[in-house]
Amino acid sequence: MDIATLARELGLDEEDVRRLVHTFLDSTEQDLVRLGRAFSEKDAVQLRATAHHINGAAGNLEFNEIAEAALAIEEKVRAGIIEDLAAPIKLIRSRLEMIRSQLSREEKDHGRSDIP
Amino acid sequence: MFEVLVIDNHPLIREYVSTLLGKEGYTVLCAEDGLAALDVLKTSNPKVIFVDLIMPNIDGQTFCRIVRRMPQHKDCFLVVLSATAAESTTPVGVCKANAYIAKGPFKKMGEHILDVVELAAQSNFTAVETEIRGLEDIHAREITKELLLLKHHFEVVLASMSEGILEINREGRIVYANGAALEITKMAEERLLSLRFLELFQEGARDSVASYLRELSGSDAGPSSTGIEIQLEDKELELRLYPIRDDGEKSIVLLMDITERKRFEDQLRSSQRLESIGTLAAGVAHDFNNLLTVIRGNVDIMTMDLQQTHPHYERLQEILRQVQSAKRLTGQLLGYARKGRFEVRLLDLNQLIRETVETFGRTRKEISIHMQLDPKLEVLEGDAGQIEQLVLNLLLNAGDAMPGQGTLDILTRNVSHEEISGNVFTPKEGAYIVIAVHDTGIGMDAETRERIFEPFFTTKQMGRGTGLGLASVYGAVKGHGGYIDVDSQIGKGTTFRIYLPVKRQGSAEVSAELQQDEIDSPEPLNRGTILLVDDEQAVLKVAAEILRKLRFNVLAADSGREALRLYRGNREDVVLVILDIVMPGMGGSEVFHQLRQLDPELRVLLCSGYSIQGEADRLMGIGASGFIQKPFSLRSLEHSINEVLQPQDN
Repeated sequence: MDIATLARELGLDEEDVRRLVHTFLDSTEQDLVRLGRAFSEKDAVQLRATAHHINGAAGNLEFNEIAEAALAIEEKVRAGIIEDLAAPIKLIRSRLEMIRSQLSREEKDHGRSDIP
Repeated sequence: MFEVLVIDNHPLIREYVSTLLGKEGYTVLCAEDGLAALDVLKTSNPKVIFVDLIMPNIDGQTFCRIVRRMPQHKDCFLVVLSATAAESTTPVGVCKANAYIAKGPFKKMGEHILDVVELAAQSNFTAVETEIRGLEDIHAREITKELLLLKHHFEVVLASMSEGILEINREGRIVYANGAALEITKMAEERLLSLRFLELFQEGARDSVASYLRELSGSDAGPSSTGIEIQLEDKELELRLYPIRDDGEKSIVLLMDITERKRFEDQLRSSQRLESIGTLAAGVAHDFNNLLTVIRGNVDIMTMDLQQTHPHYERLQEILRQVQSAKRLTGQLLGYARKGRFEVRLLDLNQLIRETVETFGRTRKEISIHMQLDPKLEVLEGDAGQIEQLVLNLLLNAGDAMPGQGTLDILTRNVSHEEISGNVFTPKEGAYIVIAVHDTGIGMDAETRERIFEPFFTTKQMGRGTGLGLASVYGAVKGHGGYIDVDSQIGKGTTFRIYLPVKRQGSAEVSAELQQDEIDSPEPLNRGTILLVDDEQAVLKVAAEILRKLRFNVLAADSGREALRLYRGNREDVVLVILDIVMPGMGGSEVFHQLRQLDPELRVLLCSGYSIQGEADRLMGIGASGFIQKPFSLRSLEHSINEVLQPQDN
C-alpha cells in the first residue's frame, strides 16, 4: 500500500487517504466479528451479506487480496459450503493486520518528518 | 456551492464522497440509511442526493420514491450510487433518479461523482440519464444478481400478502411497510415510513399497544403467541409482534384486518342471543296458552249456563276479552320465536303495502310518506297476516321515531342474493324482494340498535309500547326465510331493510280460528267418544267438560301411555283423539304413531300451546286430521272437531 500514490490517484491529501484507510480497517474488523458470529451460528444469509460488505469496501480501495477472499466466502456459502471458511477469514485478518502496521509505520514516519 | 447529501450504510463511502466533494467546496451532509436521511431532509434542502440502493431500514429505491413525492425535495438531483447497479434486474428508470453510478474503485468512481455534481449544477436539475456510469470498471456478478433476485422475490411475496407488515427499528420507528399495511393504515408510504409506530393509534388504543410492546420486549420469548385486538380509525385490527431473531433491536409487526370477522362474530352472537330469547319466549307463551285455555274454557262453560241478564255475565265477557288480548300477546311471542301460525299464499306485496300505508297515513297526517314500489315486483309467497303486521310494525316504529313532522320513504324492489351479500348476513342463493323503510326520525345509538329485536325491549314510555313490535318483525322475517338489516344515525334517521326470498319451501296451511258467533249447528244427542290427551290436569278437566257440553263422551288421559291403554280398551267407541303434542315422557308424536299403527284410519286432532310449525306440521303431513292452537274457545274447538269428523270424500 502506497499512501502517496493512492492520494495522488484519488485526488486527495495523504492525510485524507490515511483516514479513509482507518475507516476501512475499523469497519472491516467489525465485519469480521459479525462474520465470526455468523460462522459459528451457521447463518448463511448473514455470512453472505457481511462478506459482500467487505468485498465492496476492499474493492473501493483496491485491496484486491481482501476483496478476493471475501468473494471466495460469498461463493462458498452460495454453494452451501459453510464449514470451510476458516482460510479466507484468516487471510482477510492477516491482510488487515499488514495494512494496519504499514499505516502505523507510515504515520510514524510522517509524524517524524513533520517535526521541525 | 450547494448542499449535497450522501446516504450509504458503509462509513467508507460516506467519508470518501464527503471528503472528495468537501474539497470542491460543497457542504456535504451524511446519513447512514434512508430513515436517517428523511430526518436530515426535515431541516435541510440538499440539491444533490447520492443514495445507495441496498441499505437497512428504508432502502434506496423506497427513499427515492418518497423523495419524489415530497413537495420541497421532489426536484432535487438524485444520484443512485450502488454496487448493485450493474447486476440489478430493476430497470434504471424505476428509481426516478437523475443519474446512476456503479460503485467500484474510488479513483474511477470519484471522477463520475464529480461529473454528475457538475452536471447537476449546469443542467438546472432536469437531466435524466439512462446509462449507468462506471460499468466499464466492474463486471456484473452472478452472485450479486442472485442476492438481488432473492430480495426481489421476498419483496413480491410481502407485497402480495393480505396481512399488513411493518418493520420497526429500535427507536420504534417504521422503516418498512408492505402494500397491505399502507392500505390498512390508509396512509401514504412517505407519511408512514419514519413515523413512530405508536403514533399510528389514538390515545386509548396507543396505551394498549404500548403496554403490549412493553410486555413482549420484557420477555425473552420469540414470536408473540398472542396478539392484541385494537381499533385503528374505522378498522378492527389484530396486531402481533415478532422480534427479529438475528437483530434483537428490530421487530416485525403483523397487522391483520379483522373488521369483517368481528362483524360476523357480533352478528352471530346477536343472532344466538335472539334465538335463545326466542326459545324462552316460546316456552313462556306455551305455558301461558295452557293457563289461558283453562281460564277460557271455564268461562265458556259458565257463560253457557248463564242468562245474558245475569249480573256476572258481563264480567265473564270482560274476562274473555282480556283472554283474547293475552292470546294476542302470546301470539306475538310465538311469532317472534317463529312458532306462530303460518298461512302461506301468493301475495301482491305492493298492494299490501299500499293498503297498510293508507291505514297508517290516516293516523299520522303530519308525516310525509313517499312510496317507490317496483311495478315489476315479484310475487311473494308468504303469510299475509304476518307480512301485513311486519309492514305495520315498521311504519309504527318509524312514526314513533318522528314525534313531530317527518318523512317516511318506503321502497320495494327485486334483488338477487349477490346484491345483498355484502351485508352482515350471508344470504342463500336466489331471488329476493327488498322492503326498505326509511324515516327521518331521532335515530338510534349502537346500544339500542343492538337490542331492538329483543322481545320486551322498548325505548318508549311505560304503557306506550309492548316491546314486541320489532321482535315480531324479526320473527316474521326469519319465519319467511328472510334477512333484516338496520342503518341508523342519531338525529338523522333509520332505515330498515327486509329481504324476503321470492320462493319459499315447506310451508303449510292451517285452518283459521273462527269467531265465536260464526258457528251454530244443531247437534245430535250423543256424538261418540273422544279420547282427550293432555298432561296438564287443569286443561284436561276443562276441555273434558267442554266436550261433554258438546255432547261427546270423554276419555281423559294425562299421559301418552294412559292414552294408548284407554284406546286399546275402547277402540270401537273412540271417534276422535284430541292429542297434545308437547308432553313429558311419551310425547304426542310417539302416541300418534302408535295410535295410527293400531288404526291407520283413526282421526287425530292435534293440539298445542305452540303452533302448527315444527312437529305439528310434520304430523299433519303424515295423516293427522287437524290442528288447534291453545287457548281455544268452546266454539273454535267445536268447529275444529266438526271439520275433522266430516265424512271423508273417499
